[in-house]
Amino acid sequence: MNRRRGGYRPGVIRVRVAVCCALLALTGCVPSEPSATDWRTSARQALEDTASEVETVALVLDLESGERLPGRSAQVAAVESEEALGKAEQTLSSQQPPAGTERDDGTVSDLLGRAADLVRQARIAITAGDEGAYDDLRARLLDLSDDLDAERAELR
Amino acid sequence: MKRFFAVALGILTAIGGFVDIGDLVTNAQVGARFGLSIAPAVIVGVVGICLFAEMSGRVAAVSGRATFDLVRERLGPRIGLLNLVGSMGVTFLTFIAEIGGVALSLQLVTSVNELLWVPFVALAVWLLLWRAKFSAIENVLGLLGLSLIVFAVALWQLGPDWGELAHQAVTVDKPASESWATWCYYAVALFGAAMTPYEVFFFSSGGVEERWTAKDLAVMRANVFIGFPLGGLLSLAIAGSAAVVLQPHGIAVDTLGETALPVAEALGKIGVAIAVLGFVAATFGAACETGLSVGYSLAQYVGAQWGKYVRPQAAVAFHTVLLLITLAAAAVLLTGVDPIVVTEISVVFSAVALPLTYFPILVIANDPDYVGEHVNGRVTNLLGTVYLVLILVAAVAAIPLMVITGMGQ
Repeated sequence: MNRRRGGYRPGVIRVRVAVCCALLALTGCVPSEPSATDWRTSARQALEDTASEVETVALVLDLESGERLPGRSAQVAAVESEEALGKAEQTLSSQQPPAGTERDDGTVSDLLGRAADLVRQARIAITAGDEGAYDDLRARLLDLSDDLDAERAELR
Repeated sequence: MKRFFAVALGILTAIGGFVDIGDLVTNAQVGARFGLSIAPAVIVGVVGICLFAEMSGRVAAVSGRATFDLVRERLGPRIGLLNLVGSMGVTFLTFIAEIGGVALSLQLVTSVNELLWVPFVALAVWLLLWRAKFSAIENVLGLLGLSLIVFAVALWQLGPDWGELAHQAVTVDKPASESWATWCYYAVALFGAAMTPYEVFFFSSGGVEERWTAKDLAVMRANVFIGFPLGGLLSLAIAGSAAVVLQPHGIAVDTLGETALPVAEALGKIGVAIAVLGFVAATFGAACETGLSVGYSLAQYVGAQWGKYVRPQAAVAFHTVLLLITLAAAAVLLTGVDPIVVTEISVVFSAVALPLTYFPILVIANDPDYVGEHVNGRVTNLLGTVYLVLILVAAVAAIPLMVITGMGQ
């Protein structure tokens, strides 16, 4: 008796629309509020992506100091890594850290910030052709990469 | 002597034209993350493309008509339309990725942002499709694409542990940090990249453009059975050099520049310059091939005049399609979408579209009305059937794997 010519009563439709709107509002919240497990997965991914970019820039510095990259390709590679780091950091920072993950959130944010800063310094050195800074920057990038890997292992 | 040169040129252009943006990116990504442990997917894909390219080339040579010219006639308008929508959609996606690939390659050497290159690349592609002869497009860009042999030289120069690489290639295994779902995702992506539908669209229509006859079957088979596998070796060299240089550092390939880093390590500036020339030639050549393939398939489906062997005035609809898709591809890229992401999506959807492309070829290559005495033999049909099963499995698994792994994360 609920159906009228194969359709639903307006009240039923209204309830369903309201439920859909509520679901959309909840899932589309900014910032998103993941569970602790989901947040850790996102954090591990951000650390892995960041470590990859940090290692890339370290390799680029090594190749550039050996004059093995033509033209401005070292600069292009450093800029691309810098942009990728920005995206990784932004993806994680748009999520609300769940209760109980405050310490991890602080450590991860600090590491991502250090990576962004160091890669920026490397890009500036490459663009300026400051070859004297390459070795030191490369050593610091490799140390940071180890720290990123250690934190990723910690989050498992 | 003339025949010898024709065979040699065909083989060389087949090698140089085999690798496109999908092969470049996917092989480098896989090499950097999995070493050569997914190499069997490339080998299976190369055998598959040889099998079906030979069938479509044979159909074109004997019947004088491109394979997809016959699909609608042989299988009816519904299957024809399904085939058109599926295969052409993926080919258009690949076309976008290739134009983006050229722009990324030019950005690599000039440091001028890829978005600024996109309109110029699109214009150059369209001008070439409109004005250049078919043989010039195929031969010049195919030969320049041979520059990618620099990856094989780089791999040799890096002096890897060949035994270890061979062990990886023949063992079904994965690094401890990776999941089997991700392994399967990349296996399907590599398979899709090797068997991408436009290759047979282009190969069979190209045969008609070059007016192949049954007398050209031997040359066509030499191109397929020598050129394509050697092109496949280039794909493996890209994966191998990434495995040797990038994997130990934990570097995941997200850009075309990262693909070239192993060459820089092995061969320095000149090596990278040659690699970038290869990137430009391979992606530019593939952009022309995919663009033509979209035009071919649409014109062939509606029965309009098509091809570069007639004057543009005689194939207005065909050339209008080429112009419109070039504009559309440039417009998509100018939204700022990452061409590498488009590439990743295109190789996965290639896998999804494979049955729509290859099932009709198998049917037509068995029809004596079109190929007379040159129908498939038993072995070809057996292999074709086995491959159809593989293709179906890859097509069904592709999208679930993409969702489960978050595009291979």
